Amino acid sequence: MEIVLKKINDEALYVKASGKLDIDSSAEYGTKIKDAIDDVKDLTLDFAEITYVASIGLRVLLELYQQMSKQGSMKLVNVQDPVMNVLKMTGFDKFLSIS
Amino acid sequence: MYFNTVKSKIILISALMLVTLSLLLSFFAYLYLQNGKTLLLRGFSYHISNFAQKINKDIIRIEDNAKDLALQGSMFNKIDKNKQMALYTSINIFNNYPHSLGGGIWFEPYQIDKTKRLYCIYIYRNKNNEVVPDEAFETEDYNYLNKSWYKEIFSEIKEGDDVAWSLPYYEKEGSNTLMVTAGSGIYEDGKLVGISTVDWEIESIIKSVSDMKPTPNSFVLFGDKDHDSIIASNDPYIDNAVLLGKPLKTLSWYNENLKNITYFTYHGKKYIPYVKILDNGMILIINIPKTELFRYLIKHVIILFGVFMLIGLTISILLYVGLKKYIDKPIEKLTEIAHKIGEGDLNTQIQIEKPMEFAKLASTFNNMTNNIKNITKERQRIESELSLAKEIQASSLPNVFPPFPDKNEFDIFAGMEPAKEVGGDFYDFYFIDDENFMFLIADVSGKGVPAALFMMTSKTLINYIAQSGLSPKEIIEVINKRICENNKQGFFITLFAGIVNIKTGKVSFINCGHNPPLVKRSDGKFKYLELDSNIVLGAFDNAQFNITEGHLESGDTIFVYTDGITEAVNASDEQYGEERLLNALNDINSDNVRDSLENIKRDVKDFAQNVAQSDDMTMLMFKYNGKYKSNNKKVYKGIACRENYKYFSEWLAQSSKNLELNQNIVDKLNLISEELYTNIFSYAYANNEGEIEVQLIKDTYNLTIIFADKGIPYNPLEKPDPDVTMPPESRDAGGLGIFIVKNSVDEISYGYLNNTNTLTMKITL
Repeated sequence: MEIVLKKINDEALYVKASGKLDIDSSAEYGTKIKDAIDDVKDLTLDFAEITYVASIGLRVLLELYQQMSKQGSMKLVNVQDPVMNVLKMTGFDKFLSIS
Repeated sequence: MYFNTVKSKIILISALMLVTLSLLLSFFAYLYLQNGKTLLLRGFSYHISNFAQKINKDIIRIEDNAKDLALQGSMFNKIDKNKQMALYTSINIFNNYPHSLGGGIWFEPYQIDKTKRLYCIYIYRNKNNEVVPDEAFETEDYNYLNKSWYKEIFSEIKEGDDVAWSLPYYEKEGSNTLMVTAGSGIYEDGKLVGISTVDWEIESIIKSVSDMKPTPNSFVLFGDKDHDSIIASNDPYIDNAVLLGKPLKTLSWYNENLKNITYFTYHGKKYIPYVKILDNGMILIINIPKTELFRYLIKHVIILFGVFMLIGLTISILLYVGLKKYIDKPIEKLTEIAHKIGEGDLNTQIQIEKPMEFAKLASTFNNMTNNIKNITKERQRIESELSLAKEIQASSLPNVFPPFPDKNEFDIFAGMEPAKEVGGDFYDFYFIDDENFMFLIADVSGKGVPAALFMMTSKTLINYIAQSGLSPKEIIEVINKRICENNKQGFFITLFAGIVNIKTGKVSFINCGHNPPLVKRSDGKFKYLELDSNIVLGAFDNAQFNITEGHLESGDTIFVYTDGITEAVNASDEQYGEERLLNALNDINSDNVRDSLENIKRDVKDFAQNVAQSDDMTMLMFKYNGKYKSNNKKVYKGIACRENYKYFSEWLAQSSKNLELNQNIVDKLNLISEELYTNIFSYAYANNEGEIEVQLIKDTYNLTIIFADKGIPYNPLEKPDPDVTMPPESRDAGGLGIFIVKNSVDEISYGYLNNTNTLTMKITL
């Protein structure tokens, strides 16, 4: 999985990845972001090229959300329909900021 | 209402007892009073008679004394005129009459001695009770001839031994006490020449008469009736001294008393008189105030009556308390316990030791409770056995759906909704050879355990014979024969069976007295299919059966049911009926066999509302999909582990392409495959390696996905869904995988067979 982290400013981080958030790549995706958000208050996850999110991927999203809600905020952008379906199905759309 | 209770009866009985006792005791008291009065009056009368008799006795003695003295006087006069001798004899006579106070013999002038005018012999009893002579009365100073008593007696005596009485008198020269004198005559040649006298001091008699006060305010009269003279009276309204010697009628009440009355009124008081006329003409009257006479008696009776009443009251209270204790209380206790038992408390025992009848009733009650307890226990045991039997029966029917996930040519779903009792409905299906699939529905006549047992045997028998390689006609005939052989109880079975060649669609239908099936063909509407109906199974062992043959096209659906469906009734006693069933089937907006049957089940339940189901409701739906196409099926077999996931992923992508699945389906397929593959190697094999087989089967309507593994038996469908409405802070992401799977597919089922977990899913295309 290709994961690109871009620092917008001192407090804002932009992450863009392509592929699936499945058993192979979720852990990598989560670890890389977690390592980079210690001082981040504004986290943006670009899902434009994420084709699907499995439950293990949801777990990573929940962990990121729980951490970010303590120190700032997190938002998902460019979420594709199949992924959106899963987020709705599992009630994640209720608390995740999605645009 | 209250008056019908035992308590009120007890009060009534006690009250009646009280009234009865009161009346009875009052009556007794009345009798006692009357009797007491009579006794009292009689007692007084007797007492007074005794008294009068005693006085009479004295009177007679004194009269006798006078007569003896007169005889002595006669002898003295006639024979010797020896005064010393006469004195001596007179003293002797007097000694015989101790009550006589004094007395003498008196002669007319010059009768004894021509020189002596007065001649008498007088003796009296002195203070020492000695009889001594007294010569003082022979003097002219005394001159007995002028004394009233002498004159009176002398004039009253007529002849023989007449005795006359003088009036009471005081004599200053004598004893100076009130006296009367009795006298008898002394005769010479028939001529009265003198008299004898005996003095009777009556003051003591008057005193004893006066003392005779039976009650404080009673008073007496002692009078001389012959001389019409009052001797003594203590009439409280007149001075005693004034009365002496007065005529008797001075006392106004005197005349009244002689009229033999029971009482008279004097100065406003009622008196009861007792009148006694004595032998010498004297009269004794005792008057007793009526109130005083009976006062003590009445007082006595009142006390007695009070005691009686108290006894009556006590008896009534004891009766009430006793009845209450021995009847009312036990009844209350029994009622309370009966109520408890009625509410299901069978452990309650009644303890009543007395009275015996209630103790017996209580022990009967306890026995009854114990019996009920035992019966209940027994019934519970039977009920639990029956419910177990029902479970066994239900589980003997195929209940894993889809039963042949790898067979794509048909869909089948069936269900039995058992009534409260075990029944005789059943369905079954199986391949009788590689290509021919048989499904059947049947209903054994009767209900209960016998029908259920017959059903179990029949089901096994049919299965066995159906797989013996015979033709459909032969199959059904052999089945019938075999059922007849073992049917001593006269059971019969209605049955509908279909045998479908799943490759060609060729079908054979057999209907043995069963409800007609509903069939949906290319026009898309269910219709009742009228077939040649055969006789029920189990009736005649040589029965012939007609088989209807036909051909099924892709999408043809057959629905069969038992009469429990059409004969379900609602509160108005209407039957669900064939018409409703037909309409309900045609209203169903789904091709899915499971959905269809669930819909029918719901519709029947909505119709029946709360009316209890009286018969098993059994349904089976068979849908023919069409011929088997090998290129519509993809199978992956491999070892599940983290490293191999990418190969599986590749196979999945390739298969999706080959099966020409659209992107929407591919997304879902990828999602669920990922979750299930992960689960298998993470949990089923606990991060170890293990076999995995995945099949993708595409037909006209569905994509069927089957995941099989040989790991730990685990039914993921039993896991409760995570709460997706929980706030993110308290959420954990566990359990989401299977939740996503369940929500991504249209149908999912789990089975465990031959050490294999099989999860079968369908996605409608």
